[in-house]
Amino acid sequence: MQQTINGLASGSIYALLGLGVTLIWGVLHVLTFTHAQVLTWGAFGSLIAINRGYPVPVAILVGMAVAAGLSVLIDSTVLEMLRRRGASEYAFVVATIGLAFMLESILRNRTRARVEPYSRDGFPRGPIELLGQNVPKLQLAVLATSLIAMAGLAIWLNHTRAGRGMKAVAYSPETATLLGINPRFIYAVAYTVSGMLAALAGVFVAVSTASVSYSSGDRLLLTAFAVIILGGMGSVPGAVVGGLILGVIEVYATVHVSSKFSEVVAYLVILVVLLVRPSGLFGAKEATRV
Amino acid sequence: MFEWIPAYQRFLLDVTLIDIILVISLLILFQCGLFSMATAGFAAIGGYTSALLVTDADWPVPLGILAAVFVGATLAVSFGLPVLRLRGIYLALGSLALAQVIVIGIANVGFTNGVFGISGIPTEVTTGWLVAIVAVILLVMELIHRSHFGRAMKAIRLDEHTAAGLGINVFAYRMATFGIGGAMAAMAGALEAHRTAVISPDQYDFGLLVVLLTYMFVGGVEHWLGPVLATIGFRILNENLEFAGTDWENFYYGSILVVVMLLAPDGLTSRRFTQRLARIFRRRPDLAT
Amino acid sequence: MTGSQGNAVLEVSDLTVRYGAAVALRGIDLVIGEQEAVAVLGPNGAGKTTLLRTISGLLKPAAGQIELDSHSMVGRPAYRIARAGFVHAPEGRSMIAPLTVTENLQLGAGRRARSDVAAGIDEMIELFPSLRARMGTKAGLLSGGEQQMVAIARALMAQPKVLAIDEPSMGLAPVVVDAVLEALRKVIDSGTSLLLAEQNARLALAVADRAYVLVHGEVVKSGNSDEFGDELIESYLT
Repeated sequence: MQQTINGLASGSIYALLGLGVTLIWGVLHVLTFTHAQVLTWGAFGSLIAINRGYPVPVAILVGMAVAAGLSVLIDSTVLEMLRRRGASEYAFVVATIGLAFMLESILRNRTRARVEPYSRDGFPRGPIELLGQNVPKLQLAVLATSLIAMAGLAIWLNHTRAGRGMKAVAYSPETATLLGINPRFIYAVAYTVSGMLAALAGVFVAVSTASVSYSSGDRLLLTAFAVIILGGMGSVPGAVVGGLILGVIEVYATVHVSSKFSEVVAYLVILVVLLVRPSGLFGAKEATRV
Repeated sequence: MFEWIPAYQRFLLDVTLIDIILVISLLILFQCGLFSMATAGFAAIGGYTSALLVTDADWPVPLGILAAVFVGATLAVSFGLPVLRLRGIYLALGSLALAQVIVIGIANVGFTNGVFGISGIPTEVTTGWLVAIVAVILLVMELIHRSHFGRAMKAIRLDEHTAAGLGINVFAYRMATFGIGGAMAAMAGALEAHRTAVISPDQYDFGLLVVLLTYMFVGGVEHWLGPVLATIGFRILNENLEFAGTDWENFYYGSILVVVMLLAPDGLTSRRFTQRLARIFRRRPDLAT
Repeated sequence: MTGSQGNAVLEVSDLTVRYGAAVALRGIDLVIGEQEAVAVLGPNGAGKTTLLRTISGLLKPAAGQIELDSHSMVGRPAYRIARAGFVHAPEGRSMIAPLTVTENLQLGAGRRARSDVAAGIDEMIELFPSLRARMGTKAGLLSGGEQQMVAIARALMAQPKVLAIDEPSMGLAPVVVDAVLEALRKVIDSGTSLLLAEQNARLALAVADRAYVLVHGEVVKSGNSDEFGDELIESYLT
C-alpha cells in the first residue's frame, strides 16, 4: 500500500510532465525535446526566488514564469521560423535537441556543474495518517496538485472559448485562422501552460530530492515521452493515467527487482507499447502510416 | 602500410575513419526517410559482442567483428518489423528508448562487467583495415546512390505516398536500410573496441548521437560525400580549436544543429540550400556571373 | 461592368497573384455592394479558389488592392481579415471534425458575448431547421449537405459583412444542392453580402445578382445575372 502511494506520488509528477508534452504535441504536432530544460530552468527560477527569501508560493510562480517565458521564447523564434519554412517533423526534433543542448550547457556553466541544495522549508512536511498508513503530506500535495491540474486543463479545453480555439487550431490551423482565431496566440498559450506544468513538476522533483542541478531534467525527458506514449499522444486523460501507472510500475520494479531496473522501466514501457498498441491507452488510432 | 604516418596523426585518422562509418550508418537511414536515434545502441551491441567473444570465448578478431555485424543486423530487423510500420515520430522515440535500454542493460548486467567495461581487448584493427573498410563502404554507397535502390530510397524520403503509388515496396526498402544501418553501426562499434582495447557503457551516450547528427546535417543528406567531408572537417577543427572536452562543447554542437536546421534542413550541401545561396549571389550586381 | 447602388463593401482592384513563376491571377477587378450576391464562375483551375484565398489573407498578392469597407486588407494576417468581416467558408466544408455542431458554431462566433452566441445559435437553427437534431453530433460524422449547412451557419455566426463560399455544391446530390441554395437565399435576404465561387454556373446564377467569369486567372466577362444566356454559359464554361 505504501509503495502504491509512493508510486502515485512520483507518478503524479510524471503526469504533470506528460500533460505539458501532450499539450504541445496535440496543438503543434511537435515533440519538445526542450521540455527537460524548461523544467530545470523553472526549478532554478524557483530556487533563486526561495534563496532571496520569497515565500514558497511566490517562488513557485516565479519558476512557472521563467519556464513559460523560456518556452514561448523558443517557440516564437526558432520554431516559428521552422514553421514558416514548412520544415519536416525531424527538423523540429533535431532543432529542439540542439536547443536543449545549448540550454543545458548554459545552465551547467552558470552553476559550475554544482548540485544546489533545495530547501524543503515552506513545503508540506511530515506524514499524515491515511487508511492506517503513514503518508507523507508532500506526496499528497503533489498528487492533489496534479489531479487539480488535469481537471483544470480538461475543463478549460472542453468548456471555454479559448479551449475550443485550441482544439480548432490543433485540428486545422488554416480553418481556425479563417474563423478569426490567431494561431500564434494559441501557440503562446499552449507553451505557457506547458511551461507552467513543467515548472511545477520541476519544483516537486527538487523538493523530493532536496536538490537541483543542471542535469535534473535529463532522465525525465524520456519519462515524459514514455508517459504520453503509454497514455496516447495528444490525450489529456492519457497523460494523467499514463503518468500514474508509470510511477506505480517504477516503484514496484524498484522493490521487486532492483533500483537499477527501475531506470529502464520508462524505456521498456515505450518499447512494449510500440510493439503491442502504438496508439497507447487513449490515443487516436493514427499511429500507423501508409 | 600506414606506419609512415606519425602515431598521433594515425590515431586521429583511425578515429575519423570509425566516425565516418558511424555517420554513414546514420545517413543511409536518413536517405530513406528514417529518423532513428539508435545508432549508439547498435554501436554498443557491436562493440560488446565482439569484445566478449574475443576476450571470453577466444574467438579470432575478424570473426568477432563479423558476429557483431550479424547481431546488429538481427537486432535491427527484429526491432524494425513492428516499428517501421508506424509514423516517423514513433521510430524516433522507439529507437531512442532501444538505445537506452541496451546501454543501461549493458551497464547493469554481470557478464559485461557492468559500468567498469571490458579492457584488454586485442587491438588488431589497424589503419589499413579501416581504410579498406571505409573505402568499400563508400564505394557501395556510391553504387547505391546511382542505382535503382538509391533512387527508390530518395523517392521514399521525399514523398512516401507517391513512392508507394509508383509500386515501390516502401516497407521492404525501410527494413533493408534499417538492417544495413544497424549492421554498420555495430561494425563500427566492434572496430572501435578493437582499436582502443577498452570499452565501457558510458561512451555510447546521447552526446555521441548529437555529434553524428551534426556531422550529417552540416554535410548534407543527399550524398555521402558531404557528411564524410564534414566529419573530417570537424575533426580538424576540433584539434585546432581545442573545444573538445570544454564546458562549451555541447553548446557549440547544439547551436550548429539549430542554425543548420534553420538554414538548410537537408544539410548545407543540399540542392535547396545551394540554390538559395546562388540566388542571393546572383542578386548582387557587383558580382558578374 | 455595372456596379450596384450604395457603397462597395468589398473592392478588389488590379489583383495579381503568383505561384512561384506562374501567374495565377492577373489584374482582377471585382466589386461587391451592400446586400449584393456576386458569383465568380469559371472552369476548374481558373483561379476562383485562389481569388477567395487571397482576399481572405491565406495568400499574399504580388500586386493590387483589396478594400473591405474602404479599409485596406492587403498584408493583414488572415485571422484579422476574418475578424474585420470577410468570412471565407473554404472548399470542402472544413469542419472541425472532433467538435460538435454547437461547438463549431460557437467557434464561428469568435469574440461575441456569451448570451449573444446563444441567441445567434438559436437564429441559425431557425435558418437551418434540419440541424436542430444534430447539434450534439461531432461535425465529422455529418453528411456532406449537413456539413455545408454548418459551414454557412458557422460563417454567419460571425455576423460578417461578406460571406465568401467556395464551391458549396461540390460533391452534393442535386436534392441537397437545392437545400443549400435555399440557405444561401436566406443569407442574402438577411442582409449579408455574398461572394460565391462556383463551377456550377446555373446554380450560381440562380442565386447571384451579378457574376464574373474567370478563365486562366483573368476576368473575361462580368455583368448582371440576366445577361448570361445559355449560349454564353456554354461558351465560357464547358
